[in-house]
Amino acid sequence: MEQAFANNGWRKAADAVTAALGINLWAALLFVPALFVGAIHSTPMAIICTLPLVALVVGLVTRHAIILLLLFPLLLLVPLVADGRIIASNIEGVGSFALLGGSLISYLLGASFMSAFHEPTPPDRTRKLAITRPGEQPRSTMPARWGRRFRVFNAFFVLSIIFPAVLLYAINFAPDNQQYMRALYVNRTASMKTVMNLGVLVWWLALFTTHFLGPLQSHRTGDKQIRRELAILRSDVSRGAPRPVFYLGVLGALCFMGLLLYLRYR
Amino acid sequence: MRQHFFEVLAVLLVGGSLIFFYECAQYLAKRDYVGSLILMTIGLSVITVGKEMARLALVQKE
Repeated sequence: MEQAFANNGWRKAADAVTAALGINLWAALLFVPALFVGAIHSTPMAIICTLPLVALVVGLVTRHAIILLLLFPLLLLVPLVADGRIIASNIEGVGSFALLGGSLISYLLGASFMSAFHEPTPPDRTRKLAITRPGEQPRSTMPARWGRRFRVFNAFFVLSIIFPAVLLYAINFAPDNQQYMRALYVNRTASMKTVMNLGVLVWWLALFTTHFLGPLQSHRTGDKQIRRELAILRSDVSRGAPRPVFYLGVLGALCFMGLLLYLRYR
Repeated sequence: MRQHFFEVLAVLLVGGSLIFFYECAQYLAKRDYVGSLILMTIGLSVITVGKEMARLALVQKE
């Protein structure tokens, strides 16, 4: 009973923290700058600006990691694309950009950590397995290989924050680069910066997947993940209908086509 | 010391590759596309080596 209460209390606290971090990100990145530049001037724009909050609420209710970590951040980009003045007012200085970056990282860390609170209830009793040779004392400290693994994990975690921050600084704030771009891409500086920022995003995602996650993949221990993947595969084989990601893809394609048409013909 | 060798080398190489990527962005800003491509290749090579060092650090026996 006490365990169930403690779990429920932790879950509510986790949801509250995730909600607070998400609302903070939405307000800092989107809502306040949009109000400042007067971007929320029509009903479609108001709806577009409210959609991320809807996704956040749905993600919190369902505790779906993909909604919290992918859909909500993606929906934040839609109003920024619809009205470039919103993001332009955000990245005028290193300080404001760093604040936004910190808000985004805090939300992603908080949401990914807190979404782990849907683990099943632990068993009533546990017993440690003492793997010792005859005459030896059971180990009370962490084995050296696990200490090494945690050090490498932590180092890669820190580097995965530094990497995109430095690359974005190089393109948007480094004084020499700004001078070169103004001189060489006359009247096209903003467009070139946008292209380079997109290039950095794609490049960083590829680099992270192959070079940061790559060495760590084969050391994911515990068979919970494998059992979950096998269960998903079994259900996919027996399933006659498309998976939810199919509908997500269709909806996303239609929405972005609509947005493109709206921006072109408004 | 030997235990930490691969870990330190992995972090130095992966972190060091960032310098090449930063320079790549600078060369792109100067419209030196060939130079930026070369720097990107160098950065990719360095980070690949760093990745291998990290993999070796993780598979070291106690």
